Amino acid sequence: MTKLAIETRSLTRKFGDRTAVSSLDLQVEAGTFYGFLGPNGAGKSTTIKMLTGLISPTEGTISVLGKNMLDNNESLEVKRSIGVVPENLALFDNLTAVEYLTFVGRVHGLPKATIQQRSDEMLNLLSLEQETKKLVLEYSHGMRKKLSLAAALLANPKLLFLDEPFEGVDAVASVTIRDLLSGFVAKGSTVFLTSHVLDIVERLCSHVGIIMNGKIILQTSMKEIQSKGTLEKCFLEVAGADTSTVRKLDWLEQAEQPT
Amino acid sequence: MMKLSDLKEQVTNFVWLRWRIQSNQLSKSSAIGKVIAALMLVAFIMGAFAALATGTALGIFLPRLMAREYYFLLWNGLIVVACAMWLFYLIADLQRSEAITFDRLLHLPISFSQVFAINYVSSWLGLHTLCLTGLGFGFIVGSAFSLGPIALLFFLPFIAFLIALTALTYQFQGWIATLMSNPRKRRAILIGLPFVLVALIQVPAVVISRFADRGERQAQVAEPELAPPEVVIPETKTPDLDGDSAVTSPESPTESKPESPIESPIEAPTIDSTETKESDAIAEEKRRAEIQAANKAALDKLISQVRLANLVIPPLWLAGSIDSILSGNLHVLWLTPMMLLVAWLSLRSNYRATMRFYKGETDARAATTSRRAKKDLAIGKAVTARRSKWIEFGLPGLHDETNAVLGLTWQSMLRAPEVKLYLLLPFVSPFILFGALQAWKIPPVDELKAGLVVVASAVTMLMAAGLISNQFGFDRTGFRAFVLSPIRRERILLARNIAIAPFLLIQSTLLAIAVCFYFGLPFDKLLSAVILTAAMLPTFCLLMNLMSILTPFALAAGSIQPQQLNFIPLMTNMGLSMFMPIIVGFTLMPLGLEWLLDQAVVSSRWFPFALLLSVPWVGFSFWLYAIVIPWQGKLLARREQEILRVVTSKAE
Repeated sequence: MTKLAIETRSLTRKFGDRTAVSSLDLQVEAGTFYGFLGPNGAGKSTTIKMLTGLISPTEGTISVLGKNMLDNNESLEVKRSIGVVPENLALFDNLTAVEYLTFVGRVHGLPKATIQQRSDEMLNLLSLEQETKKLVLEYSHGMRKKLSLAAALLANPKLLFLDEPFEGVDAVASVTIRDLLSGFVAKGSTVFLTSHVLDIVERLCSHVGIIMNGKIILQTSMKEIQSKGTLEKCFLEVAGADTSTVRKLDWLEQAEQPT
Repeated sequence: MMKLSDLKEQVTNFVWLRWRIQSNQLSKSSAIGKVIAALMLVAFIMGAFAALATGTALGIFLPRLMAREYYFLLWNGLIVVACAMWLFYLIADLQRSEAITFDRLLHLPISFSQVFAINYVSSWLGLHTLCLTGLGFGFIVGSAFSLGPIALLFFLPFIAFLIALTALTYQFQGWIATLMSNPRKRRAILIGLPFVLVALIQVPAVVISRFADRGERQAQVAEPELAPPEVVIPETKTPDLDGDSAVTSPESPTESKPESPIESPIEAPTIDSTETKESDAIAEEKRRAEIQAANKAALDKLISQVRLANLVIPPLWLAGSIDSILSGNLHVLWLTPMMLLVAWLSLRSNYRATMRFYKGETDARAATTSRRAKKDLAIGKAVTARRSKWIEFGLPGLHDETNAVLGLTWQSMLRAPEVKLYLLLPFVSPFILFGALQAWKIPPVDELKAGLVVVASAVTMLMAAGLISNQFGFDRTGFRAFVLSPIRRERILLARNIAIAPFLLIQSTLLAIAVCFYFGLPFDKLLSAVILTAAMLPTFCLLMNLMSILTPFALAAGSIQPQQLNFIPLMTNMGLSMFMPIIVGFTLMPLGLEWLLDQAVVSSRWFPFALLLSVPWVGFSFWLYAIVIPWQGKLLARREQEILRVVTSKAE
């Protein structure tokens, strides 16, 4: 039997009258690179927040690495084994990158020398080594993303949650991150990633789940998708977008600019 | 060149934009915030109309109460009020999160100079400017009724004054905006500048009180000089017809007051002669004349000082111009063109500086790469980042998770200006306290005095309550790192309390020692007061933890300004803060018990009961802390998602 890294049953989250996630049954096998896709407002970030304990579900159960995330004690054990890059990051404005990584390393109980060695390597790899005197509040969005990823990887977790990790990151760093994550999964760890960049998801992920209006509408392997075409084609089909019916804006196609 | 109709269109557009931004800011806030903001808005609009009416009324009536030559003093007062209003506006405007900055407009089909001019012109349409304009215009129109049509000439210097004031404000705001493009400077400015402005607002009050003090001192000096010659009391005591005695009081020689027989058992001598009355009347007349002369001299001196100030202090040039128009001293009429010159120079300098900034000719963001990193990079070596001592700091005996949060908290506290502000705030308390102590006569009871020392320490701790009672609010998005972390939640609270404890203990203990010396308390009382101060800390921290968990507030980045004040958390916060007197009362119990013992057993005075009791009191307090903190940790774990939602609600 395949071991599941993530499993949810009837996972639901409501914000007032609005249901962001509805009866989600998700199964992510350990050692897979799982891409979680969906249009804007589909419920991807809400799901990842529930899976990592940032918000609690209205209904349903969550099991991460075989432990109940809704139990306070068990969720602490889970948090020792996971790394997270949340949607709006989790950084302290008044720390430098090194200081933040040192804090994260200490929280995970890493020895001082290990923290120092890993943080230096991560910062060099992600091209943040020149910014050692800058505070996080002075970082650009892309730099913050890279630092957040460095912090998520620092403790060498078994499971990595990444919410839009490539958003705002430069092309060079993007390739570095892709290689880093591929190696991470190759050694048997799991990555759960959301992204709008379908090319990257297609290149990296072994499994895909598509969520729309809070409901999971497709959960399959990348091989199966690619046997029928591309991920983009599949996504547009299941997400319901029909490009042939897109209305044209006549005025935009006219030669003269409006006065 | 822009057409006039286009300019009108653009100005209208900008006015609409400013109005829309402000109205959206109001509608986004909480229900209670909306009500307060709406009330303030109504009050402000009414204030603009009321300013016009008030100005007119003051202009009609005030000049009638004084000689025409002193009329300019009224304008000096008006300028002080106007400047104070302006400073309040600047404080409020600094905290405004959504300003119409050039970088949001320059991609649109509008030139730089047009944006500059339109932005400046639309800044005139703020309510503060309308209020000031209404007040000034009304005052001039009213003055025309009392002083004649010549007062209408005051419009010229007043408009020049308004142009200069708005131009300088515009330049000031531009300068601040340039500085604030650097995030570190932005935070320091947001915290520091309001304090500078508040200090500036105190200047008029200080000047007025200084004048008042000088007046009082002059009166006191004049009093003995003007005292009438001593009346020689005849040795023979002459009883009057009623058997009462007439007494000439040495304090008020001209007034006589009857005294009761108890107060004057011996009959006092009476002075009953026409000669004495005449000499009294002459002395009184002379005294009055001298007082009038002294007053006149003081007023003349004041007038000459104010006139000098009106020439040399630029904001007062308006009053100087008006004085020159009214008195016909046309040689000081240059003050009005000077105000226009200042406005022009200010706008020109502002325009150039703004253009340099947006063209990237000045870089407010300093290079932040360390020299060592640059050196390493130059030789192609992997950079080894500089380690921080604080972030790796650990106290022996504490779990590494606790030490990690402790190091993080200290590092953050030393960096964040708003936190440093809160930590420095308790140093203000001695000034307030000693001022109050001098005005208040304390009963000579040592236990009461020692109790006051403990209360003073509590007040010192309370001054930092804004920080500790919303400790996660100051973390902002960083609190998400705690929620995602595997740290046991009571360790987060423990680390936070340990981080703040040295600041609170040092400040409150130093104050306690200072007050003990002020009271001249015996050593055992001093010691027990200091120990009880330490005993108060754990329970105080528990209360602050509870407030942080139950009633967190979102704070704007780099600011101490709460973003949302919802009614229920606000009331809960206030309700919880009511527990502070209970904590203080509990802490005071050893002193109270000693006082009771002293009342019951007179011979127990020598026995340092409070000192002996305060030691187990500290133990009890820490024991209570150890019992409650795990429970608070569980409460934090239950509430952390809600806290995260609140503290990150505005930041994102």
